[in-house]
Amino acid sequence: MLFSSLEFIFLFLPIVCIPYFLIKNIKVRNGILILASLFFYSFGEPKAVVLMVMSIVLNYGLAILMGKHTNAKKFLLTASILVNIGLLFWYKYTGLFLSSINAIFRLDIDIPLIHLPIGISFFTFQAMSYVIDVYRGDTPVQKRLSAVMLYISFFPQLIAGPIVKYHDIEKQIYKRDISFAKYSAGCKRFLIGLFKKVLIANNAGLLWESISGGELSSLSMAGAWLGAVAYSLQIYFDFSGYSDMAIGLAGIFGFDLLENFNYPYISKSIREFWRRWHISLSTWFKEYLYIPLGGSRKGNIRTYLNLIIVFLCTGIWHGASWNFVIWGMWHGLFSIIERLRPGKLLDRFRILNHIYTLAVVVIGFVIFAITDPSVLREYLSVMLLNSNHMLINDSFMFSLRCNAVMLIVAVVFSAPLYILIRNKFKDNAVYAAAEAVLFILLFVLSIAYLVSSAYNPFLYFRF
Amino acid sequence: MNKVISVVITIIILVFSAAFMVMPKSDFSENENRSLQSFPKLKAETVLNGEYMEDITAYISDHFPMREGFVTIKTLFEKDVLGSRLINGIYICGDMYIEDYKRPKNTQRIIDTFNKFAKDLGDKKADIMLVPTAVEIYNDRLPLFASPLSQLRTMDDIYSSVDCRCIDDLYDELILEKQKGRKLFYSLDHHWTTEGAYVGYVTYCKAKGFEPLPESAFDIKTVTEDFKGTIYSKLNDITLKGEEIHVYDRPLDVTVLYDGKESSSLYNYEYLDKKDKYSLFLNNIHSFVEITNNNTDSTKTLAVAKDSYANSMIPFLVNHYKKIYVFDTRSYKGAVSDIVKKNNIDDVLILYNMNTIDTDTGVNVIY
Repeated sequence: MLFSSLEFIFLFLPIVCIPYFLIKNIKVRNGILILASLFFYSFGEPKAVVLMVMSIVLNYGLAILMGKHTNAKKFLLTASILVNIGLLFWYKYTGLFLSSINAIFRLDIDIPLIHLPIGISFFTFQAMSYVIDVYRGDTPVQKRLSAVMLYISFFPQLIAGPIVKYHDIEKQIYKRDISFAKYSAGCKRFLIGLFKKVLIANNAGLLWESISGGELSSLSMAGAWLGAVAYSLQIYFDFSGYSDMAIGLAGIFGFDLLENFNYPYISKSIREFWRRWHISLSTWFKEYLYIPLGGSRKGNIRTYLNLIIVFLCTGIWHGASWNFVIWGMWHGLFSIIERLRPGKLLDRFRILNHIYTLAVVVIGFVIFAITDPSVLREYLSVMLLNSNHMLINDSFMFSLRCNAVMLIVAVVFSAPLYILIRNKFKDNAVYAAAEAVLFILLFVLSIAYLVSSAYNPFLYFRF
Repeated sequence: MNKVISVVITIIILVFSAAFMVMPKSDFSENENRSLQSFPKLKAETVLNGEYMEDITAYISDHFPMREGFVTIKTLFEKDVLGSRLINGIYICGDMYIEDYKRPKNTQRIIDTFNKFAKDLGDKKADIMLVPTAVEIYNDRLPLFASPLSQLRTMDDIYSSVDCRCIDDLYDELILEKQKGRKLFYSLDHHWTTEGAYVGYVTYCKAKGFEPLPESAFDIKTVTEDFKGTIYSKLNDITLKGEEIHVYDRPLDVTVLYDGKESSSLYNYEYLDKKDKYSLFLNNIHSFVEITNNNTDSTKTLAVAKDSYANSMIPFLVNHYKKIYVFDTRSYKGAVSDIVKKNNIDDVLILYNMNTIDTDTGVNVIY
């Protein structure tokens, strides 16, 4: 069940919210959220819900044991990490692993068809965060299974993040501010995410599909760049919109989650980009992988090696396909180059920094988007000047013409313009009224898009 | 103001949830021409494989309150606010609406099927006539920069590979008639108009060496001014006005068997009261229609393997044949070639439009 769906907004949400706000007891409220979360997950994954519950119980149990047998802490931590990574590996990477083995050693091992449970990359990372936090003594062992259950399965962040770290949320599980003001702020945040997803990301996605799904042989260079920009806008508005919805929903139920995106496309370097993009994942890797590896404290060579390991893991985390590894390495490469700081030419012209960063990011997302290596090679060659392709053609102009408004809005809102406007007119009643009207209109429009996506006129009579 | 927003949105959500719960649900959407999802039965099997949840999702979107109104909102927003000129696969060309041509995927399969059919006919050679649609004929009316794929290329691929007599000058004939300012395709439906079908008929007659009847031989009647077909449904733009359907009438004495049910008319005007008014031609889709002209000197017989484009052209052809056997290959389950051989049918015509031939489930089951 997606947040941006009719069944979520019009059925699931009211059914969860009404009892949640009628009952005042925090334990019962948490119980409602756990039941809602298990239902939410089983709606999309009726079988894997068992797997998720087992994973939660196991990690809960290992942490309890850690508290009782402090001398076996290291062993228990290793066991937990092996189980979590093992689960992730089995469900997500077996296919890629075996097909790569087959390709390298010219073998013919049967590749089992393993269904990838939604959100497994997210909930195993949250489970590990809990166990590692307990191991480090950053948080006490959680005695109540229901608290660990709620932390890991909480539906707003269950299937697409943000990846909440246990030490960031622990204190809120039994003590949080649940109020009308937070409900309202949460609603508004949810709506912002909904608009980003439904009105911008989905339409940018259609543009990307129409360009990348057409015949590449008739693609122009301008068209290839338009497609790449459209995909970059799609992934940002989709993912950050989803995070907005998650943060908003969590707020409705009284939780404060950390921000996951901070206008990544205004970055002046790739290193800055990773401080602004999918923050919960990069801080997860930083706290639980990069720093334990020694971070940047063990000399240059070790730092670069650590960076490569982190970007490799970041890449492969996004999907079981080699293009994600290349994408991770692509970003790792530029991060290392930036650390080497070859000359400071770029620094003299701020605009060049932006152009460089966006070019790396946009080309990076093409690598991210296209899993077929030969298609990827062809697409990149059209982008980077291929004499067999036109610079510009009618089909580019038509796409631009039909999507101009969406693209302008998307580009403008990739920068913190809304924040600027809001701060400037903070106390202006006319602005506040206009904003309220706009939000309600955009909500109706978003519903119109959601309804239309399921409206399929059939040419022929039903057979 | 956050509180105003949250209260209004909460009220909207609750009102629609309540309306969804209590509103009566219909089984069929006339506008979309399809059955709507019914509430699924709870079964362990369908719950475990996720089918149950998919059906629930479809049920909710199919019965969402005011869903057609929401489609209208989206279309008007895209057309008038965003200025998009391609909405839901429809080019907006001023007052004309033209369906886009999607990249064909099944051309080779279609060629193979036609060739197998041609082979099954033995030494009898079929005629094949493919109808290019509005996107090809009116491509000068498309919005600036619109560059849909060419249907002519696909048509050439098929014509050059099938073992049939190709009536390949229909495109030129349609272009000639268009230049006279005639409306050959509906603006709000994916079919050709009766004028377009008349061009098809004349082209066929010329290819077969008959003298086509002149338009003056018919009493051209406007049977409705309010036809809103499939293109209208895709947009659901309520600001659009319906268009006319013309019938070229001529006194005929025919006996028509629609899937065995006898009638004396090539038209069923009851469809004028429904949404899908084009269905008045040949009484909508029937897998097998047998038409006998009781008042002709001709002794010739014709078999037509076709889609719905033929429905408005066959009434013209009736004037030249004693008997016409019409097979809608999407639903006809027998072997057309057997019927042709058994009845020693003189002419065989394959007639499909280029807009839907690629996705038409019928083409692959002619045999």
